[in-house]
Amino acid sequence: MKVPTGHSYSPYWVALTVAVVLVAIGLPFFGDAYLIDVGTLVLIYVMLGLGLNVVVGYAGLLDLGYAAFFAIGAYVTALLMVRYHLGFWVTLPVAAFTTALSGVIIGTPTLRMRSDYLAIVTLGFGEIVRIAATNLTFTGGPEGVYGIPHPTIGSLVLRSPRAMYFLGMAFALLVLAGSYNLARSRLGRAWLAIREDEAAAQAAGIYPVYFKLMAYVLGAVFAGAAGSFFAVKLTAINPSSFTFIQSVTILMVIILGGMGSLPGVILGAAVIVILPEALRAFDQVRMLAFGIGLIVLMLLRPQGLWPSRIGQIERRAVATSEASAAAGVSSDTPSTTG
Amino acid sequence: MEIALQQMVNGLTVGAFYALIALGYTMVYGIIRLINFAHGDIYAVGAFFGLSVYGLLAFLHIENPVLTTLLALVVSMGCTGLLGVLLYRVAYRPLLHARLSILISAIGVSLTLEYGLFLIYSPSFLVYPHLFGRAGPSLGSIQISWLQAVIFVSSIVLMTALYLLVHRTKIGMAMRALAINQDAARLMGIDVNRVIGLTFFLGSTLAAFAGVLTGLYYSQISFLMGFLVGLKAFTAAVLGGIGNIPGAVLGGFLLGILEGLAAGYFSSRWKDVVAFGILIIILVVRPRGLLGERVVERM
Amino acid sequence: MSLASARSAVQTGAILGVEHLTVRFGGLIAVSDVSFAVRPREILSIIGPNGAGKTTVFNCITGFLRPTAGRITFEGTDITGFRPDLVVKRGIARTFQMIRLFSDLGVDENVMIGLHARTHAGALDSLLHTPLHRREEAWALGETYRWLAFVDLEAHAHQRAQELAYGNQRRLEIARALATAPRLLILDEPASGMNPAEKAGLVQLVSRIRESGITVLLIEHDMSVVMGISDRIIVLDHGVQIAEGVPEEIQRNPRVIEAYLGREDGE
Repeated sequence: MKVPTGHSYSPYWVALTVAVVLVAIGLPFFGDAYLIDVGTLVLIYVMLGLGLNVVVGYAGLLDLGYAAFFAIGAYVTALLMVRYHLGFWVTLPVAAFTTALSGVIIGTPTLRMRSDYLAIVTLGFGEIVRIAATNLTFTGGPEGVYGIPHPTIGSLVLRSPRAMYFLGMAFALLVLAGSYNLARSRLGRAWLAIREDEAAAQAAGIYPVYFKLMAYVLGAVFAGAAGSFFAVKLTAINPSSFTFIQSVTILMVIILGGMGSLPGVILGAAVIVILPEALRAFDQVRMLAFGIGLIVLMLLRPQGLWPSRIGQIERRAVATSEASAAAGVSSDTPSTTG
Repeated sequence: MEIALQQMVNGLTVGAFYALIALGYTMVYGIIRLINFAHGDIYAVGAFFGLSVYGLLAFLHIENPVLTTLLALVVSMGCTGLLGVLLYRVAYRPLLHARLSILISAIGVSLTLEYGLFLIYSPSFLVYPHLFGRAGPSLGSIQISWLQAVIFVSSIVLMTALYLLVHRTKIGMAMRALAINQDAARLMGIDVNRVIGLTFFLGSTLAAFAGVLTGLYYSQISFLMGFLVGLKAFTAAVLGGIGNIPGAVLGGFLLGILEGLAAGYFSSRWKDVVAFGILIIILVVRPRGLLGERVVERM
Repeated sequence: MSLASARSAVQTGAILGVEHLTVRFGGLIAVSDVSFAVRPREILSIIGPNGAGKTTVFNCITGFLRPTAGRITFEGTDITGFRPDLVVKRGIARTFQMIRLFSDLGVDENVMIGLHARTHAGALDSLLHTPLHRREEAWALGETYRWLAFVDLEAHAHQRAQELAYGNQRRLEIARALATAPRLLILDEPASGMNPAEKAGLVQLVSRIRESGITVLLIEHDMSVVMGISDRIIVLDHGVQIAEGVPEEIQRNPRVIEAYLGREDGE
């Protein structure tokens, strides 16, 4: 019998989901500016987590330099808005394109490598991007870029914490929907096959390098979008937000929550942001806790806190019964999906 | 030209450090196909343990530079070596069959060591005792300090000792057998766990040796010193051919020299990029490195 | 002798041509100057003692290994050194000596993955669930059930692949290969590990595959299966081709008998 990851439907998890949704919707109305900002930060990590989830959770590529794409998206939006006075919505597609292009450039030579090498090389690229951002004058050096204008919709300027929260929510929901779709698609199946057995996947007509690259680029674009939002949210960015520590934090989000699981990523983002905020005094131990936490998680609960088939690449239970009825085969064998 | 030669001398010293640390990466990878992310931090731990020994000895009013240094080296190497074995037992052994999990666990170990040092010792830089100055002979206008010479020579001695151990002793043969085929080695009665533990021990002692010497050479150590150096030492191991012991030594010195030349001719702020650049180029163009063997995949 | 038949077979429209195939691993010669042609709709078996190089030949044909020398042509096109997925897209599918299923996935999902090369939904389609995506998904489900029915596994559609009986797992791997719509199917020891009933079923399945118009090339150790189903047989020993012909000829061939009797029983 299949492992009960279908316990996402047990009453406990349903209650948790409802609670999360209520908090998410109610926060901007009942929370103060500080709480709303925390919520917005959670949304940013949700986006980043979902993006990295495509790379690590779906395609199985250990990427330790993910913050680089976050940086590229942020800097593109920041520089275009500050230096060239372009509107936020114009910079978004440019940021997406630039991150996608970087993903292709970095990924093409890299993704043919074994997974262990891939991890180090992506780490290296992440560091190169950060070093470049710190040392180049045109990116503002160590001080970065500041005075980033607010995004506008028509005549409406989005500057209050609440407005930013809703904007972030919109972004996060789009990324969430995209991830959900990807899991249930031809692309999702190809990734699953490659992860399970690369040789068998090739024998089924799948070219692994292309699909790994696709995952890497899609993940990059999600990070780039998060970066653009980050830039206008903070109105000032500098290289210290895009370190290896940041990459590890994002990785922690999905490992803690459960790789490949959408509710897990959301939970992971919430924990990663809220816990250190709540335990402000323990800021010193944050990274130590991460380190020990990673080891303990791998040893005791590698599937994360909220493993779920929602967002896992899987078959559609309902559709298969319909199709099998159409093919004239009895479909009353109980489905084993959760 | 003189800049180049001077930089090369400096590069050989730095290269010795890279080589010592690279050996740890290469041996562990050769035997269990794991990139031990935490190995760079083991080097840092070695440096800190050494500092503690110096501190303790100073407290006991033992001041002789040579004696204290020898004690610092030996104690640090021993303790760090044992730490390496402990980490293997706790964080790696249970995960040997899960590729992704063990890599993530290694990242966890790395963070734990780094921030453990941060909490135990202090956030900022710590200063090593100034026992050996920069004095030394000069060949023309090239300065070589005694310390540099000692570092270079002692590293060569240690690496030769390792090579002899791996190629001339029974336990070394066991290590080589495991690197080739774990199952066959097990069938031959080799205690796999003991040999892997020994590999971690040896790699960690060499890294600790490099750590203490680094403290003496640069006078400053910090809890994050292992991160960057670790990456570069890994690059050196890959450059020489991962899994290959002479390769790690060659790669280490070569990387040290190249980096020194780059720092001399370009700006030193970009010199870190040299190592990453080499890593990427090697993995794309010639993944087996300079001395490594081509791996054939059988279906 | 076999070279001449390879050439003449190419001239008479062979579907697959293997010419002077040689594979060296360092100092070891795994395959040495093997040449043969496969005629459309025939069932050709390659047999030989263990280590004879049979799987190596298959790996070269299907793109998992690049030969040291030689040429492979399929339906007139040189496919030597093609990537495995490109070989599949050309129309050659394979199964593996050690079963390579996606064991954690469902039986139907395994087959559906085999349809990959016949569908085209890209990143954008997958991200947005465009009409193309929806159309292809519906089509894929239908095709999946068609192939499951062909191998008699539709009753197991919702089970995990690893839950199937061993013989059924082999059938599933064949179904996945068939889903790629190949014109040539390459089976590597399909009967290994099967009991007599399963082997009989397998023989029937291979016949049905041939009847549907697919050429079959197989490696097999079980002589009853080989002799019962093959139109022609090629014998390899130590990487060298030592005989080629119809089953009756092979059974009487002294070199073949010597190659087999000179060593312990096959497995």
